[in-house]
Amino acid sequence: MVEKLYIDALAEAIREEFERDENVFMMGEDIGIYGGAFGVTKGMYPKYKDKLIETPISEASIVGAAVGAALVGMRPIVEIMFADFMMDAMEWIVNQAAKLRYMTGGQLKVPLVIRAPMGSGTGAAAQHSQSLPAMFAHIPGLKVVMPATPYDVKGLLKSAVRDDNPVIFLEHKLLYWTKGEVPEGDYTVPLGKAAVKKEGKDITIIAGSIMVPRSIEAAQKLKEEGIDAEVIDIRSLVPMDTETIINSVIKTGRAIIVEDDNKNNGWGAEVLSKLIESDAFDYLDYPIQRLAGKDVPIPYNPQLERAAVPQVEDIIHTVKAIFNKE
Amino acid sequence: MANVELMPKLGMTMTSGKITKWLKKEGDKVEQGEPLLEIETDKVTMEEEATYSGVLLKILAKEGETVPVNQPIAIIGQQGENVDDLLKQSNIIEEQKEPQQNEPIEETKKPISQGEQTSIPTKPRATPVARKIAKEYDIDLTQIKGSGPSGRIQRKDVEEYLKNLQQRKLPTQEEPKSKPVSYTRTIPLTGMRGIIASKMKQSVNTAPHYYVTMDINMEEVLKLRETLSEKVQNAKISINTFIIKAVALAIKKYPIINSFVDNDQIILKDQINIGLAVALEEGLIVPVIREADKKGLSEIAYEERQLIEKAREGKLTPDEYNGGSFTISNLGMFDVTTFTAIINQPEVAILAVGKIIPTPVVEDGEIKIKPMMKATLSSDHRVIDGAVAAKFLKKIKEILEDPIKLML
Amino acid sequence: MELSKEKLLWMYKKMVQIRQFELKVDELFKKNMIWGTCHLYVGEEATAVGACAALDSTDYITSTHRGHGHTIAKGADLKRMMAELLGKETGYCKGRGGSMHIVDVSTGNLGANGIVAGGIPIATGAALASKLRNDGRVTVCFFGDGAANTGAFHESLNMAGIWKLPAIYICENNLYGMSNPVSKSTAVKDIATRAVSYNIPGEIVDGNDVLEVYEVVKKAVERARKGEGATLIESKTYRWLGHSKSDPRVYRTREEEEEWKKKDPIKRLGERLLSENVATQQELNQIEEEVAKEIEEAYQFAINSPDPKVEDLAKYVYA
Repeated sequence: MVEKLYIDALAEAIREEFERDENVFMMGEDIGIYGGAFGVTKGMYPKYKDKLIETPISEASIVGAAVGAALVGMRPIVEIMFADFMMDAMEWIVNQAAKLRYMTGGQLKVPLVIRAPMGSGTGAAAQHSQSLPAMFAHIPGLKVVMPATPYDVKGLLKSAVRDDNPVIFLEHKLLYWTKGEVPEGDYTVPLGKAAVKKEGKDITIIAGSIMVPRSIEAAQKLKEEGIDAEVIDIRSLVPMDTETIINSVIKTGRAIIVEDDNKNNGWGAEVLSKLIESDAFDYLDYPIQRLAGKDVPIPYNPQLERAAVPQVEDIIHTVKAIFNKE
Repeated sequence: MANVELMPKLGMTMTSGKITKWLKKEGDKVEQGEPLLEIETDKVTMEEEATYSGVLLKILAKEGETVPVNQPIAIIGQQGENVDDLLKQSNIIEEQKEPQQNEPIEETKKPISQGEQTSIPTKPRATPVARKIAKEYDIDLTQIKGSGPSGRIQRKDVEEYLKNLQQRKLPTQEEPKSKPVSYTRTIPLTGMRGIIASKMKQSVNTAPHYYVTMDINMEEVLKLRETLSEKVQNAKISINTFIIKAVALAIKKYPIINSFVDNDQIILKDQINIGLAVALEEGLIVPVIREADKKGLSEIAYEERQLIEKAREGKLTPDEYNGGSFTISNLGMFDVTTFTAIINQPEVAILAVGKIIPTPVVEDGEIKIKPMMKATLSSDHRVIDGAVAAKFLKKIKEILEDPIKLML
Repeated sequence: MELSKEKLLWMYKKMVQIRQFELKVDELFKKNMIWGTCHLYVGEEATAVGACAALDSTDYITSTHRGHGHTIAKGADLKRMMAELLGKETGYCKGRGGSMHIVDVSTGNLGANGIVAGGIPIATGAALASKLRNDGRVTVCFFGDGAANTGAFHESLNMAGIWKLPAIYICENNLYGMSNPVSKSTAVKDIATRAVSYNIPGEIVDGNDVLEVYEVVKKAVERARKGEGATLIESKTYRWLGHSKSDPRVYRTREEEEEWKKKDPIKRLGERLLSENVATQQELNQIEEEVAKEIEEAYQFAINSPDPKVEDLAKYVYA
């Protein structure tokens, strides 16, 4: 299989969906000749002029109009330049996209994908670096995914476009230039399915987005210390694949949840609660730990920025402490 | 129309209030908003104002009474007004009122464990999976020593225990599964364990315990100790030394503490022999410093060190741990701040001492940080009444807060 | 008049339907048979009916929290509407939506919306879809004077301007955003003048004259279908009743209300039909009676319909 960049795999998925279904189109700022702020649509413009609707800086109405287009049968993909800017569009995400299908007794459907880069590590500071999956995962009616690998980003985007519900599709900026195997042609990764990215028997590391590669790296180093960690990529927060997580924790008896977004009321708390409420409780041999970002706006200074979210060494440290190896 | 003043709710957690003082007497005129009485809650004492204007016709709850929130405490109305109906209503309620509390802060909670530290639960710490396995194999978790943080029993502890069991069981074979397997690894309640078990059980069963706690400012003791260690070579005087001496002196003042019960008599001892509880691997032992009231600090300190060392080596002779008349147990070194102890019979009281902790206190209207220590006296109510216990504790406090007295 | 008698009587009947439906709702609300709140359209009927008369059945509309009139004008079934208001399983939204969320996809109605200006970007998106698919449909976006001051109004009309979308933005200026008079909330006298900012035509119509509304909307629809872009129409009108069911109307005078009631759109059309000999009084009376019967049938249908099952609470949640 060919190795591809995450960003290229994503672009490939968008192009293939344009070709597959004439109702698929994209809306967003600077996505035309410029190729989007992060270059996701770079080079697409000459061929897909009619598919790339370049918008004014009007996040609320970009999402609102995409909702309207979706209601009448289109399948829009919205690109919001930074996930932070989705706050401007919250009305149309939360009160419209998420609720319309339910409150009309199923008469309306909102097949809409809202894509946005999130996360810190680029020095973009507080208003361009936040990771907000938990905020969206709290809203009934929204699906929330955060692919961590090139393979998943392609497969999940296709599933998101083909779903009849609004999907919040969050891409960590630092993942765009990571490489991984991506098959040619059409394939999908189902929404709501976690993936065991590394098998292990001693502890389950449940991670999402950028924390997946970090957890895999940590797991490899832990192996040298005699700790065999299993790494689960949650991939999709809503719907959540609790089965895979519960089964893994039943096997290992220990779990740590690693989140890129800040800890207070984060998605890891939801995973934790699902574990505690499940059969996995009886198999726990250590209190479940959560390792998440600090409860601060993302700072600018690189040392501070690094300290604000879990790093590989933090994961190793936390796991070793569980095994009394610190 | 007369109105009923109710016990007000003066804080989120308040359920009842104690009337400490009526600022008006029956027949006095009161204005709405005028201070009417003082109420003590679990947290504060507050002046409470009248809700109604008129004449204070009837006080329904006397000073010292504790009244639940929203229950009548007084009737305010017009001079000469008939309040019989209102009284009838409030009489019914009066019966529900909590009994008058004359005893000083007497705690009613019962000790929950047979050990000395009654505040530590006996339920073993264990992870869910350890519990699950233990349940499956009918294992008593108290028989297992946990290797996890804070002694938490983990899966491997139970599994190892099970492995040991199975190895031991091999020769006998075919033991019926229903028989609790934990029998094979019983720690016998004999020897020191047995003595502790029966003595503590006996104490709890015969002596009605109650507990009185006091905060003691240890600033002066710490200062004095520092001065002594600077000026006297090999002084090595511990905090316990000061406490032993202070207790011995306080007992001199309240000899009832230094007694024991013999059938229907209370017998006062003439020697003041202070025991100091020492924790050991297999249990605990209480070496005794005889006639501590007559000994100087350095003498007590010396004996103390000798006895503790011997105790830890198991070399105490019976006359070194028998004949105590009062026991001190200090768990401060384990970061315990406060606890209640079980009386070491035939003694009639025991002092449980916690860690000295820098604590904000109000002194001369200012908040200051002081090294505070909580001392809890467990007393046998058959012999010692609350007030005596309180006075005795107060005496110890006075001595420790002005420890120069110990030098005399 | 150029319009056929059939079309004129259709307009008359629709307005009567809206009026009688709303008065029935008012009655049921007072009897505590309607849960929540209702925003009634009495007095504004000409705007919805005039505009929808200019549309094809395949064209789209988006509506507002005061949406019963638009929904009826676009052709909704009174029975299913009434059932929705009573929270029944047979309602348009199966009792999950209520007054503010009635949607009828079969008539191109993309829905009432509980959020002020909620429908403006949605209508813009529907019009964008029509442009992308070149399907010849237009979208009429109804909103109130209050919505004209939201950011979404500006964003969306700007998009409609730059992309020349087949959208018609109809601002129903009923003079008050809840209690706040337009003179206090809005910097310009006529909201239609804002069209200049988006490089689209802005029109002002007498919102109580159904024929004038029809003519102006029809012109806008023709422009839109020809690909000439969007239009902003300000329809000046008045709601006879309070903003919602809990409005004591302390911010306006009873005299003002009486003045506006003199401009009753139904009476005005009726008088015109009689004076121009299009219809007889008997015909008009017959319409009133027919509608009364329809409303009663709708009520009977609704009241005899089952409630949704509590077990089905999470039905229609897909994420």
